[in-house]
Amino acid sequence: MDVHGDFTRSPDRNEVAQLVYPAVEKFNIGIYCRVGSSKLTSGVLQTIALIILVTLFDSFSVRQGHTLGLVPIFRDDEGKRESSVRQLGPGQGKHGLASTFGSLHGLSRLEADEFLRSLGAEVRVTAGGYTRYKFPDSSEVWIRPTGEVVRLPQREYNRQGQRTHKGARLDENGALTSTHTTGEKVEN
Amino acid sequence: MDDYQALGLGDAASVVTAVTVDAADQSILLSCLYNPQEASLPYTLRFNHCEHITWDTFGDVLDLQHLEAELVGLSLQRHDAQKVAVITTNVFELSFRYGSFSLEKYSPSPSQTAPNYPLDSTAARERF
Repeated sequence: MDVHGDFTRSPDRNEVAQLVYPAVEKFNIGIYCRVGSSKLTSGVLQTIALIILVTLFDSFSVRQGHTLGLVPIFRDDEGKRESSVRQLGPGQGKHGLASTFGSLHGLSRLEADEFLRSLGAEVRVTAGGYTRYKFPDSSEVWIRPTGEVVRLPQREYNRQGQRTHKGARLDENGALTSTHTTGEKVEN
Repeated sequence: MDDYQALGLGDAASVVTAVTVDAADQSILLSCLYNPQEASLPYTLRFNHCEHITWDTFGDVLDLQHLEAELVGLSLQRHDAQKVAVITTNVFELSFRYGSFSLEKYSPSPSQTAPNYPLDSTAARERF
């Protein structure tokens, strides 16, 4: 697989870097790295990130239309360096962008925020402490103050112009469900 | 977990179909449908002695009597001696202080089945 790209720092958060891979854009893959207090130079970091990503890409079967989030995390605490990779698998993908990725369960609120923003979500925090991520296709992801995730499918209509899937939610695999709480939860 | 489960409706989601604010009566009435995907059972949340009402809308709310707002979260909390409700939907968020609260469920028509709906089809609560 021919993987190449640029390593750039996010303008609003110094510790977050974004990898952009034109070669895999057609698969709608969102990739981003979080770099903690790492003392690694950007060149070394870039190489490590590329190795990890190439290895991971080779192990995935990615279908077009799915969003695959990879969150490599590098930490350097008091000389100890560790790295871990969290993988978001593909979602069912039939009900808008909010259905195209796997479970956010276990991600931190910040990791989920970065991932959802990378998909183009419009973000709004309400006075009640809820965070709404609204995608251009009208599907939505909400995070309650407790960290519980609520996914809403994109608006769909039948031939009579009536809205279908009213009251429906999406589970952590992007499939339709009728439950108010799905168990998908990010860590506060 | 938010306070939606404490309403005792069941596990299915709800849609808010109308909001009525009666300034003279200081009451707020939310008409809702429980489990619209399967049974579409109506119920109402009535709040009395309301004050400090705050609206936040996330788009055009054209008609409060004809909504299809997905109920994302419900919070009924006590802060000191005051009761505060926060109702969050994908169309609006409504927060206010209230004195009393009741839930009214309406019996489904005989032709409807309600697999996720408790058998006590009519109830009123003052638990919050």
